[in-house]
Amino acid sequence: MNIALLTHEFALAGIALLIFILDLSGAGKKVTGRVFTFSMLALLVYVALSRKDGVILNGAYTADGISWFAKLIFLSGAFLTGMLSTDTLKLSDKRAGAYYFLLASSVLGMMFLASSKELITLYVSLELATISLYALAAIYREEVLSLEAGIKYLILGAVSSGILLYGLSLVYGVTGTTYLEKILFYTSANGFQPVFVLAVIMVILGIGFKLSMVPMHVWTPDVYQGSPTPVTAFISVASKAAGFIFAVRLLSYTLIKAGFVWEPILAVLAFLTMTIGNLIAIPQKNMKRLLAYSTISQAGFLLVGFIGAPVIGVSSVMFYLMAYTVTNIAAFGVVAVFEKSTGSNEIDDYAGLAQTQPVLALTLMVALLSLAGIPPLVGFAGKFYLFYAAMEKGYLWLVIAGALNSTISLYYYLLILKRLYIWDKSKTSTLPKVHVPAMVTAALIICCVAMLAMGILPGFVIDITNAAAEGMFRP
Amino acid sequence: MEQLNVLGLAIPALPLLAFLLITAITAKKKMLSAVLSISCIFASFLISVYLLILQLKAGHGASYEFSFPWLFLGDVKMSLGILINPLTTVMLIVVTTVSMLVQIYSIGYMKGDYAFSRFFSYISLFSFSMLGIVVANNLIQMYIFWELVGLCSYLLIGFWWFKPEAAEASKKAFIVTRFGDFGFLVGILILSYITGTFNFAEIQAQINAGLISPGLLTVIALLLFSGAVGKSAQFPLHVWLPDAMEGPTPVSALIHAATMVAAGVFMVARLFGIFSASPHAMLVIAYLGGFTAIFAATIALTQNDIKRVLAFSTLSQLGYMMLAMGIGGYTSGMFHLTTHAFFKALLFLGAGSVIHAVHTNDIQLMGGLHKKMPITSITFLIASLSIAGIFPLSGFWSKDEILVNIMESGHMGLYYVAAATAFLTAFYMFRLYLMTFTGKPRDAHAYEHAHESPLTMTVPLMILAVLSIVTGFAGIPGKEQSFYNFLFFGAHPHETHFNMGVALSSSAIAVSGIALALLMYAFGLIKPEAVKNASGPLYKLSYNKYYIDEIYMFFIKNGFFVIASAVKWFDRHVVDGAVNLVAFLCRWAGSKLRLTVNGGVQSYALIIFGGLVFIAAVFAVWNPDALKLLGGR
Repeated sequence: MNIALLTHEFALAGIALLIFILDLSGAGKKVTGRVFTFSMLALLVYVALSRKDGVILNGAYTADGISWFAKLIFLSGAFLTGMLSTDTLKLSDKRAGAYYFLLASSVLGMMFLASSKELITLYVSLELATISLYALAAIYREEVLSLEAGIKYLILGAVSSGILLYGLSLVYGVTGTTYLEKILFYTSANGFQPVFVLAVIMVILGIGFKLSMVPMHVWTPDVYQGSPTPVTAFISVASKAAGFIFAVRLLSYTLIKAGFVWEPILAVLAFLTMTIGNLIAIPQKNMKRLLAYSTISQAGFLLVGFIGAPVIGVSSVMFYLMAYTVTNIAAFGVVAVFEKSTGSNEIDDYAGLAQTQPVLALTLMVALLSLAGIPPLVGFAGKFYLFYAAMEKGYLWLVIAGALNSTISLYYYLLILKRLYIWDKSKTSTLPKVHVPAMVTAALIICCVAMLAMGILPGFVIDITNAAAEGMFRP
Repeated sequence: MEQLNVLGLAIPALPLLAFLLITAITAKKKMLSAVLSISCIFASFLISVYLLILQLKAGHGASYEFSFPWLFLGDVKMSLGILINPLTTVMLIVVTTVSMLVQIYSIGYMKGDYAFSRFFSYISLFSFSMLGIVVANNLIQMYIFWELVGLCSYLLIGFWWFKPEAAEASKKAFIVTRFGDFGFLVGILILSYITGTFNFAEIQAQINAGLISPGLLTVIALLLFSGAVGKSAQFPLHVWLPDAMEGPTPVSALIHAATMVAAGVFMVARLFGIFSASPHAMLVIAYLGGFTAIFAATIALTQNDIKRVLAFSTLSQLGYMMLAMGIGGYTSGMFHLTTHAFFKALLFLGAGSVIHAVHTNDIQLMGGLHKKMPITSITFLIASLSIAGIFPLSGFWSKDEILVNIMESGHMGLYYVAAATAFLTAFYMFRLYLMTFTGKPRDAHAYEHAHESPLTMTVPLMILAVLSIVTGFAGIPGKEQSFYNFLFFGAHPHETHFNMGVALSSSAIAVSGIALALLMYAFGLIKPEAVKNASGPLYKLSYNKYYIDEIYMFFIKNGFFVIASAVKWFDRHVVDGAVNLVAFLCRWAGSKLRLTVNGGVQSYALIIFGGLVFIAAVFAVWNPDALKLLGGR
């Protein structure tokens, strides 16, 4: 057994331990935060440079293109979240250690998940990733909203895990195995069994919780609003990415023969997710709630690509997840510093930000236009790719709905931008004064550069995701 | 040919370079930014002229294309590239000339503006994007730049963002055009799905080979056309253009009169192979264009804001071009686009000069300005004569050829519409000219302070005035070396001949329009007030732009917002209510260190389980095969 395949995970576990030790030795939150952030960066670079392929543990653990790229997404998310956290969190030194440790353990769960090709491993990794997030959501123990967010996230997460586990056990019951390769072999040999229908529905809904897919989206606004903003950013990108990787492994790959069941279900749910997310976003007054509904609709767009033709669908989802990570973290980064300086998340309080902080306002504008899919930002390339994938499969109606929804989404993003740029001078006596810490500035610059670079030259990343997707489907 | 690669790329790249340099380096040095921006567009202009000369030498239908791979989507290769053919060069000349002159003018117009450099950087970014549309050799590149000009338009309309109207107008323009673009994008996706390519020539080859069924082709053509409807502000998506006049006047001249709004017409010309293969789509284009032409002209009759009159005039003229395209007048449509770009840019810049002098847009507060600003007045008059179609100015030649084309196509209804539009155009332009420049000053204070604009502003006016006169001579019918033998669709140029009947009748129409304006606004023989009272409700309809904005607002409020509010109500009362209840209970129970989990979470769980049961039930009842209907192939 080639244990060296697990080097990346071992390294991350080591980082988690290091944070633990730092915490015990009484290092302050600044030190812990910087150690976490820079070790995430180091690990990101290390993973990027040292791709290893192979299979161990009888096929339960696989390192391939998909897992490698997924780990890059998770680590980018963790690194950028670390940069946002260091100077914007209002945590005591005592609790900072727990915060970064939980972040690290969540990423560890996601990294295992990306490589798992066995039902129990997949499930346990997903739980490790998510349970850490429950605690992170409630880390502002003194605040009712944060506490409520944690509790809601926990209870509803447990419900969805139950559904997911039920679905997985049905799969096991039929096929008699938990290894994905063997399940694939079974479905190829024995054809489709009716009980799979129920299993697939339960898996979809169970995993739909992580994707904030309608009807499993109900927790999203509350949890996003209540959680500390960097945690919200992390949940919105990394947790969603983890859910999609799970779905890619289980549905796109293993249960590809059951595609005629999950494709139409997901098509309808993709439509509902985009539309409902967009419609409710329009009247929102709170920035974090609005972005919550916006991420719901983004999940809908991702689902459009997900049901596309196998290779190109997986590739488009992977590409969009990376694009979405840098874009959404930029948006939440602005929200985090604004909240830190003004104590408010109300969109009305953003009035006149362009006057006091023109560059910060510009950053938010770039991020929101990217989310709306305006070229040359990466959101356009990503959405085009998703729609293209669905078109290849012939889902014209869904592509039309998607294009229409991205037009609607532009509307509420522009509403925010209008707020930034004009304000009623008679009503607003003081303009928001926002201090942007150096670390956040760096994070925002990285995100903006990535949005532009990946938007103008998407080929570099798409070649990688395409090769990864082809690699997965190659027998 | 290597040389053409570099030159073709340099045309859009130079303004991009200017944008980057201004943003990164020279933002603090105002004049340097302006000079940088103007020199770059001037270089682009020179290259465009050089390409035009090469094209003229190379003879009929010369075309040069090159591509480089951009990315691979599965089996489909997406390339970026440039296509240089007569259509490209004509459009390049139009865009670079107008952009250059508008930028020179802006030195004077924007003088003292705190964001002088930013203005030039945006204009350069716009020029880059617009030239990107023109040289594109494939749909995806065209679409990307298409969206980029929309973004630039958004930034430039809202340039004075502290004006609430400007911020509102920029948002409206972005959203409304995006609705058209949505159809454009879907059209591109369907087309690429069928043909497996984005390249114009390859798509054309497949259409020529008859690989696409006529019905499908009509659907695709109409979807693509919806992009042009949005960008070129055709009815019913015209509502954004008049509001866009809140932007600085040079922006209105460049983007909302000469170039970007003409992109829709250019797109129809570029994809003429697709459109002309579908007679139904062509008919839609022709009638929609004709309707927009007369519809906007009737609104322009009664407006009092100098820029809004011109905006509705632009709508009307764009409708004219679309009408020409729709009846197959590819060359005459493009010719009108060219002449219109010059005289309409001149009109806008002249209007800007007037606004600069009297600090108002309202023509009711102007009058007698000819004495104070003779250059502006004379150039404005030349442009007005040109748009009215008076011999031998450029507007006469292009408009006449469109009328001849319509007559030859046999759509006599459209011919009368076009002729009536010509009459209205002559009338409202002279109403505008006379009220602004002649008669007695109606606002003595404004008149006192009025003065001729500086040379940076008047020189571009004079150049454009010369262009408004001479451009038409390129398209005199029957000539050997004419516009018609240079730019045409298909294998042979369209036979042009001078139709004396059309020329005389259209001249008579134009003269009578001008005469009526003179009678009403110069000699006072017919009192405008009397006409206004006599026409009663018609006047109100026109003055209020047929209440289209109000109708849209009504539907948006009562359709869109009702749905959104219903969903919001659920969100606020069920979801937020639950949140607040939890917060309340937490406070209440907090002292007892007990956390009460209330109905909020339970109702969420209910939704989750309800969803599960519902989907399972749907499957149990419904045959899985039936669900395939929702899916694709």
